[in-house]
Amino acid sequence: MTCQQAQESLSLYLYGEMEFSLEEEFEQHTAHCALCADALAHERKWHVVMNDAQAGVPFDLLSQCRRELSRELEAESRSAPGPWGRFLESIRPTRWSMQLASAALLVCVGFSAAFMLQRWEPPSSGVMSKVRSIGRGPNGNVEIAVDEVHPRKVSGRADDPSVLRYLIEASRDADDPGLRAESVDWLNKSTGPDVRDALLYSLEHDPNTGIRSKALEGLGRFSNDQIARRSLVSVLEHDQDPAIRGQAIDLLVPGRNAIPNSPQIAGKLQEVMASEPDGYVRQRAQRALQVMNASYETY
Amino acid sequence: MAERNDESALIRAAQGGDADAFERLVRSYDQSVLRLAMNLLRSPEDARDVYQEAFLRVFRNLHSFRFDCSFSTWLYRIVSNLCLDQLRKRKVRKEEPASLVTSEGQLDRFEFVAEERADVDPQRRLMSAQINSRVSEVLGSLTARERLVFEMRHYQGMRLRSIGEALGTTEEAAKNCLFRATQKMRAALGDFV
Repeated sequence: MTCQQAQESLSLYLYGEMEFSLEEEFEQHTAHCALCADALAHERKWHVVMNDAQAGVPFDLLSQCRRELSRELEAESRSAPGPWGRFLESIRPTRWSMQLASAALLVCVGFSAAFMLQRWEPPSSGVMSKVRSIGRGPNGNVEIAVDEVHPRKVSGRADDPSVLRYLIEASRDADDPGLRAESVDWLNKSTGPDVRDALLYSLEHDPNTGIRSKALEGLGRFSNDQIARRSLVSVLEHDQDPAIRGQAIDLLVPGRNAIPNSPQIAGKLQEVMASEPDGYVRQRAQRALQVMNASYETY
Repeated sequence: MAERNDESALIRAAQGGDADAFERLVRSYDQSVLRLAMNLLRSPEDARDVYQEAFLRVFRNLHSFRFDCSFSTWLYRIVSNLCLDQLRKRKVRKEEPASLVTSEGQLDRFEFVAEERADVDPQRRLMSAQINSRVSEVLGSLTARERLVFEMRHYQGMRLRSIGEALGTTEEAAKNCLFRATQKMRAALGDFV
């Protein structure tokens, strides 16, 4: 492999898109050619830069899209002819054949309905069912185990324990960030230790920055609570996102009239001033230390 | 293999009118579809339009899906056509960056990402803003097709063969397109990395 061939294959190699034999040649070439090895290292670097520059999807966009799609699909289903409509359309061609087919159809429907009514109880509306297993039952009958989910609506005030229970459960739904965001919004309108714990859980565990930010907003009401404050300090130390760390500082030191006398918090903020890589977070820490009349540095 | 069988079963159920199966099918792809549209179009509104239209087309035409290609190829063919239409329509691809609202006002999400990951290298941190601006510029200078192929390969991790199928072209053509895109990237980002 020549240097030109190797350098034209840099990205293909990094993407794993080279043929096996060429990949071998490429690796042998770069192992011995410093120029091409440098070019490969350089290529790797700009790939990393591009990874960093990936546009983020706003956190509630997915749930918004899903809701809208669901509405659109509902409207489509209502307007589109169903299987029954399609069948009737398909037998429309001539008048006499229509009459003949309809008569035959009526006879079939009559027989089928009589048969079904004897053997089958229709599921109540809205029930989702799934067959779990099929086996042989007594007297040689088929025996089917069915899991049924009965959807129901629960409504009430957000602080009603029967409603709150579901909001807390939804705020931990691993698959649906939209559902988590909505439930955290509702939890933010409620109060009590269960709500505080649920918001703290979201703050510490939710992978979505937007939801952690919402949980922090709701925790504003608990900023004097010792459990919440311990959690805020932990977030300040460990959260990956500078906006969240900055927001945690704002909650720990909300304003001059609401400062709990806490040398530990001042100490933490001084540590932030010394080690925090992000300028925005350092700026929030500096403001908080000013409010606390504390120095910016540890001595 | 089991996953593919599950997916085939889901598709067949959805073709038979099972709404729950259709929803599960949508949910197994919709995050990547939205991410691709958002990356390409850099506009939540346009990405949302592409998402809606793509899945509505899937819904309307699923009965005609005959398993002669994979479902993902079929879906990405729809999505990529919609994205290409959008990109060609407006030509100008520089959109407002995805941003985050904080107590300090609106902050650029790109800056957060770059700063967060660059904390061990102060020089790189200083350059991050310039790099982001250069990245936007160079992405904007690619043709719609180059951009799409690059996004599908670099961010979605799709194989060139699947990209070719999704774009209705050959693997070789997709490879050439990617080659041109990466050459432009390399040239534009050369002095920054």
